[in-house]
Amino acid sequence: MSAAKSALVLGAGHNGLAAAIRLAQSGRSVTVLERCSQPGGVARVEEFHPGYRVPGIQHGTLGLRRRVAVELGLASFGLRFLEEPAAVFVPQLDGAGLVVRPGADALPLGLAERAPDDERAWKDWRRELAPIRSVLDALIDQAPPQLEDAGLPTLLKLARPGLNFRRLGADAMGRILRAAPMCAEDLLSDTFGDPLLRAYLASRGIEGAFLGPRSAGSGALLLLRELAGGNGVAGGASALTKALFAAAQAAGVEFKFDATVDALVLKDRRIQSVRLRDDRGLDSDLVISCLGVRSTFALMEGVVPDRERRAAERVRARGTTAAIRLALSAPLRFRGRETETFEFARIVDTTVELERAFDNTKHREACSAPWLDVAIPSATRSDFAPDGHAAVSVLVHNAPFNLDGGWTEEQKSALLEAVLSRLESHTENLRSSLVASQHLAPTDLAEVYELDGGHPMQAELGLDQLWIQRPSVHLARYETGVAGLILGGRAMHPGGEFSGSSGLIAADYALSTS
Amino acid sequence: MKQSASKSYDAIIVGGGHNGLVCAAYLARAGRKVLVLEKRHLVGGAAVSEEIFPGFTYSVCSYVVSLLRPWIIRDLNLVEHGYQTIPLECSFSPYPDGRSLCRWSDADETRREISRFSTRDAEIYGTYGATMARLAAFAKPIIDSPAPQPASLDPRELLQLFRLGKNLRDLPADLLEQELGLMTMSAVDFLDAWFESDQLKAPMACSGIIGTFQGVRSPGTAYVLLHHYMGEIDGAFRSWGFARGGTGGVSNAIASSAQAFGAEIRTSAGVDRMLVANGKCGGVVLDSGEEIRARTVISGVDPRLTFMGLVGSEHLPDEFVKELTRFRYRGSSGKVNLALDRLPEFACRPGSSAHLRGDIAIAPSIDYLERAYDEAKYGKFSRRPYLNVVIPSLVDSTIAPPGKHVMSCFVQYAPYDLEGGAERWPEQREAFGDTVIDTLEEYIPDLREIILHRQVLTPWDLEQEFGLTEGNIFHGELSLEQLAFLRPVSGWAHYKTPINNLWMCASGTHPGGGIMGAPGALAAKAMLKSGAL
Repeated sequence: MSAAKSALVLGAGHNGLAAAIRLAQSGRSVTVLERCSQPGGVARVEEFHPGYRVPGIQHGTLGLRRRVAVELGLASFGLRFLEEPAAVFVPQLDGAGLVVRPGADALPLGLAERAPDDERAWKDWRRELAPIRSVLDALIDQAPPQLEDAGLPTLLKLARPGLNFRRLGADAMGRILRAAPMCAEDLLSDTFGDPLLRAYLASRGIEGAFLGPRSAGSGALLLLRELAGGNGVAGGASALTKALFAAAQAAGVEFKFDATVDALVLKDRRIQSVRLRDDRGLDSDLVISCLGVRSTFALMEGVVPDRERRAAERVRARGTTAAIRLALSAPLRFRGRETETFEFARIVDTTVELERAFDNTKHREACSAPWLDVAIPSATRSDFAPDGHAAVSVLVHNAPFNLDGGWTEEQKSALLEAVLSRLESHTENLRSSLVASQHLAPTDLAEVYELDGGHPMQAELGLDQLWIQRPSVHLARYETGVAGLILGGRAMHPGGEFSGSSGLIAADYALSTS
Repeated sequence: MKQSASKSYDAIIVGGGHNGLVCAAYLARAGRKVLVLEKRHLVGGAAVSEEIFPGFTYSVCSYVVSLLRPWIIRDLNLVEHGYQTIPLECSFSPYPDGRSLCRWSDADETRREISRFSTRDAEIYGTYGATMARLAAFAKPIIDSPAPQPASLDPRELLQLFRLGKNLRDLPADLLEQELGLMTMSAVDFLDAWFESDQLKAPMACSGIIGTFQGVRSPGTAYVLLHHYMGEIDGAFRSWGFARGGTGGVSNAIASSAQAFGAEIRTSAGVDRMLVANGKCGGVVLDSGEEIRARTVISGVDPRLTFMGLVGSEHLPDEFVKELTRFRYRGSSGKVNLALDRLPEFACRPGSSAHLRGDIAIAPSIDYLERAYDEAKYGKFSRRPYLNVVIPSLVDSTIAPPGKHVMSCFVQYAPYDLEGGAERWPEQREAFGDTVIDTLEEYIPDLREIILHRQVLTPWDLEQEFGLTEGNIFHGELSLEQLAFLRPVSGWAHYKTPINNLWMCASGTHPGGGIMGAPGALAAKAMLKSGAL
């Protein structure tokens, strides 16, 4: 009897774990190489101040597809989907604000009071969008079709989502095809009256993208998030990490932590081995890299296929996200909502404000009024902050990686101050309970999480970097041009916050072709 | 009420713009009795030449031609009717640092010019052009045929879709990447993948934004870059040209052709409303009160003016009205026409004029263009706008007295929705004109001294004078969601309307704006084919 064939997975993030489980399920003997001392990737739990923790820079698990959980058997390892998405509080200075369940049909609380006409508009909108779900599901849960050198089977496969789509009927199709390339601002002003609802939804169209609400493509991202999201899991990103890790161990996956990859050694356009920083070499004919695309190509040693290398260089990953962590000696209380506990909040004002903030970002300027994506993991889990205290994670989406003059300490402090004052205006006790803070500029994120361009998605989201173009036409099939070296990270379809999907599909693809 | 009972027409075309005239010519050529009604004293719509200042003929709005489809020129014998173009010889861009770039029709000369900014860009420029020309050839069938209808169950539609898919598949891998990029990227992102020099990319990126309310960094602007490689003058690719006698020369040739085929044209005959009853259109009523009946009425004006202005929403289905209100115009440009005492001299290239025989782009950097856009988003005209300038009198002696010149400046951004309301434009008009002159003066120091006359057209003026809703020169934004089967409304992209016997034939329908003539011709063909006429 011959020994099981081996496989290596680079990175123990959600995609790496999903890929590893799938490979192990198929009988491969799998080793995961992880640079850090624990799994989770961008969602790994970090203690940023003694006793205070955050789940990396991943705030939610709404992107986790049911298919991933089912196929990897995560329920047996304690993973439980929520009944509905966790509430997100969208406060407003001179009013009661909104409480939304992202991606759910439920009417946002407070909307009927703020804009009575929007109640009807919301219901119509959700009803009109509903048929798109099945089309999106088909697109998200499988590898994008290969367009180059496509034969008849591929053409038929490509036609299938198209045919599903046609079944929706002319009206629905017209609406969808019209909405897809639109900018969020136009799409939303056609639909809703309430400026706060519009601003909140617009922020969902520009997160992880180099876009403002007036940029084409922001509408598509908004629809993608509103329609393809799930309910998320109990315990959030860290619970998902735990379940994936446990499932991987149970499947016999081996883990090497604190193992930094130094080179991917190629020979005759095949992967031969992976060399670690300590000079150990690991031979394998199958390697799935869940690192960034650029990083993966940078590690190649040997003759690198030219077309794919150039495509990798062209992948756009201009990070615009910074992370601020706050340790508080008391739970964070929102003004006018002192008795309520929220795990998530989103601080936005109007779409014009979002656009102006993006103006700053694209001109590489610091932004004095960035919009904020706030998570308070300690609100629902006791192990994230000492009793009665709070750990707050804020993602700031108006922080350009290539800030003019660079991210100096002054610039970082100014960003922290901008975040504190914005948050302070909506809360009761922020400054008085502030124990400690940590700030990570995009340049820091690039190092800490090994992100190409400091981009949390490893490649920008946008019409030109999705599906058959994610992250590029020449790379969208998970192949690098090097036999046995497969890409499986967030830069790959469906990528982004669809936790584990890219890794799972990449592994399936690798198994079907090896 | 007067009634011209003496005649009955097969078709009345409302609006004598170039598309209305093309449509009229095709219908007359097929033996139909056609009447064109034009509100102004001359035909042409936005493609007109007018002697605004004695001795000087301005191409008041539209100023260069290239996209007019060659098959239309042939079908309508336009050359016999006086259609003549003079190719632009170069594209010139001055920069604030005193340098400048001129791209010539001669490839070697262009390479030398570009290599002063980047040798790498100079080497690849030719390949870029060749690639774009191949992609343009792929895109051309799309503008030469009615929009495909993805929701239709008609086997012919399916076949057309299949053919498009097959064409796409048959593209070699590298072209496919470019094609998909063009459809989804911003002009700047697309050009970034090719070139490194900002001075080269900035003027090139401009062709992606002309007439749109988008910035060069806005996704969806890349595909318009193709238009530059789709232009055909006498079958020669990539050429833009001046019409002899100004842009009105094109309209006059088409009008002459239409008349030769038997069409009747009436100017100073503004239409007040369409005669609609029981979902049917039976004619029009002129501003004078005169009623004219016809079997079919064809609108050559934009969708909003057609349906809200001339038909009335009470005659239309609610859903259609809702979709129409969502159709966006948002004019973003203005025009400044100058009569000059002598040829202007750019400080960066003194003592010569060869580089002025094409178009001149004031687009010194990508950031400059993007900031110009940023100001417009919040309701201000750009303090330093993007300008596309031509001096057609250099190559056409018929439009200015000897030694004198006409300078035409296309100006972007001038948002129709000015802060405080569009109706504030008249009071801002001269300030807007001054901004344009100030901008030009940075490159032509003595410009003010040689100006004999200036005409300033704001988006408001384009709406008031030329009937262009919100001053949009394309009868509605050419954004992806307003193209092909979505132009102007999903389900109504084949020139028909919800009103029986009322059709559309202008730039608000597929394939859209620019002096292409394709909407007018495709509409005429659709009507004849359907038996409506």
